[in-house]
Amino acid sequence: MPKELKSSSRTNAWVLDFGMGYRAAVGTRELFHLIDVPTSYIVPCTPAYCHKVLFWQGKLLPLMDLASRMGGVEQDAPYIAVVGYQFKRGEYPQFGALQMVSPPMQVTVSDDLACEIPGGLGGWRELAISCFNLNGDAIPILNLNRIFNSVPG
Amino acid sequence: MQQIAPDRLNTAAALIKINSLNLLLPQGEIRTLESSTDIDRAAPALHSVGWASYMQKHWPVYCLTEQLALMNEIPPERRACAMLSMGAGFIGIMCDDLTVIKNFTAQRFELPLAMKLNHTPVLYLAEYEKGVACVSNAGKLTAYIERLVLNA
Repeated sequence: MPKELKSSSRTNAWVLDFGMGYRAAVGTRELFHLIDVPTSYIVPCTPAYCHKVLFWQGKLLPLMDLASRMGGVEQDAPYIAVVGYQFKRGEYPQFGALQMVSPPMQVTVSDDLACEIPGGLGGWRELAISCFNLNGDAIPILNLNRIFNSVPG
Repeated sequence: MQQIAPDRLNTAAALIKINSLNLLLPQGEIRTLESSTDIDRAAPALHSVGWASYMQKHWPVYCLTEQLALMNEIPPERRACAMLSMGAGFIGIMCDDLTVIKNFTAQRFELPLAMKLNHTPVLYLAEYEKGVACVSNAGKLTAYIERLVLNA
């Protein structure tokens, strides 16, 4: 069932777990809904990491498997995060969906936690705008516009 | 994802079922429907599954998965063959079922950019019976199959 997501005044990010050790964050204002019983539909001739769509509030959203996109195997994830982003500042938001293996976790991020996007996870450099340290782990902050608004290579 | 205003696909649409895939084409582009028992499976053309007779000639027939990949054999559920125009000739595509929908109207949606591979035959997506249908046309679909055959 869809759940309205509310964050406390202190938290400003959600950490999303895509499976296979791939985790990344989005801002609290970018995460709109958590869906835990998703019904999705396969679309042929699409990338393995984004080959399904789902209906959400009258829109049809692409469903992204970021673990697969990062080079892992396809995940059968039970949770979906509906995220919003703007193609350009001031424009009406667009929406996409991210598969997750567990519910998102609220965190508070400040500038002093900033760190480099790890080289070992080279793919994140194309998909992240920055990175922060969470208990010793580097957590990339996703560039949702680039993730959903770029044509597969 | 950009939402497109509801519109008629054409005067009528043909819904081709391939397993769970709903493939919508303009109905006028389906020339005829043959039974799978009428397909001549002897000496098929490269990557095809046989030949269909239409207008006193034989045309290659292709069988696809629901992911639109080529198959070498016709599974039992592919009971029909839809004949499409291809240039000056025709091409057959095996399907489970074909339904003609008169005055098809549905909410249409652009294929999201992140899903848009080169050479996809899917023009856009449409809401269909609490699910999704992939809208294409004979030109896109036959060009796609031609490319699959050449690159197989």
